Amino acid sequence: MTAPVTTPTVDEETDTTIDPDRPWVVIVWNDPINLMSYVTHVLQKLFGYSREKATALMLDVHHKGKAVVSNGPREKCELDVFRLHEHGLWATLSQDD
Amino acid sequence: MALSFRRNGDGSFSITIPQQERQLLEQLIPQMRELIESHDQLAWRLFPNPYPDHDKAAADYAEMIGDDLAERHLAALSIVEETLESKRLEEDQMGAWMSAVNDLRLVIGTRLEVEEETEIDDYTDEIDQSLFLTYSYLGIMLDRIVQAVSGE
Repeated sequence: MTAPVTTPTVDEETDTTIDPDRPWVVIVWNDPINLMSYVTHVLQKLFGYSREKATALMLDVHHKGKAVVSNGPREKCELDVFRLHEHGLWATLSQDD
Repeated sequence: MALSFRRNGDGSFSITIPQQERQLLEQLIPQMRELIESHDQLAWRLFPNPYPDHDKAAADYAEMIGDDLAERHLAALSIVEETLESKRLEEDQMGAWMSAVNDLRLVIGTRLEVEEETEIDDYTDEIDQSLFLTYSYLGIMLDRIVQAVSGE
């Protein structure tokens, strides 16, 4: 997945642009199944966040429908997403606007 | 013998699970393994698309991870299966239990199309009602595990 691109790649089907210079964010989405206590615990475990920070992020997911839980280079964000999926959280990647 | 998970001083966990509830896990785990191994649609919730707006990126990501995510889910199930009769679990084994119980909830919950306020009376079908009881029970188990692991 290493992509040493110098020009933006365009997704042919959805016509959205991936700009290699823009930072990436990992978003966790609300779902009706995951327990609030579990989501808080997973955010602490995977990212080393304090109980307070993990709880605040979990409440954002719960009340606003989503929250940015990490950011950085694409490869790092893909690893974060993989670990979140391993723990059953609904996570996606996108580029910061 | 009530359900309980307790952290010991050495970082391990003491667990007590009523026999009937162990048997429930014993029945569910092979079914879950079958769903994952056969790429059954019922298990779709365990494999979210990280790039919903980028078909090419989604395809590249899927190719990159291959079977890795499925193998992680399967590994957690195997650890639970191997330690079903244990009274003491190491920390990584307890983590596997947490992931596996959550995975079971996710698959059963999506199958039942649960919402946050769903109650058993929302289902008229007996099989669905029975599944909802299992789903609720797994939620209690998961919450107890999370409390034990996060030291509450």
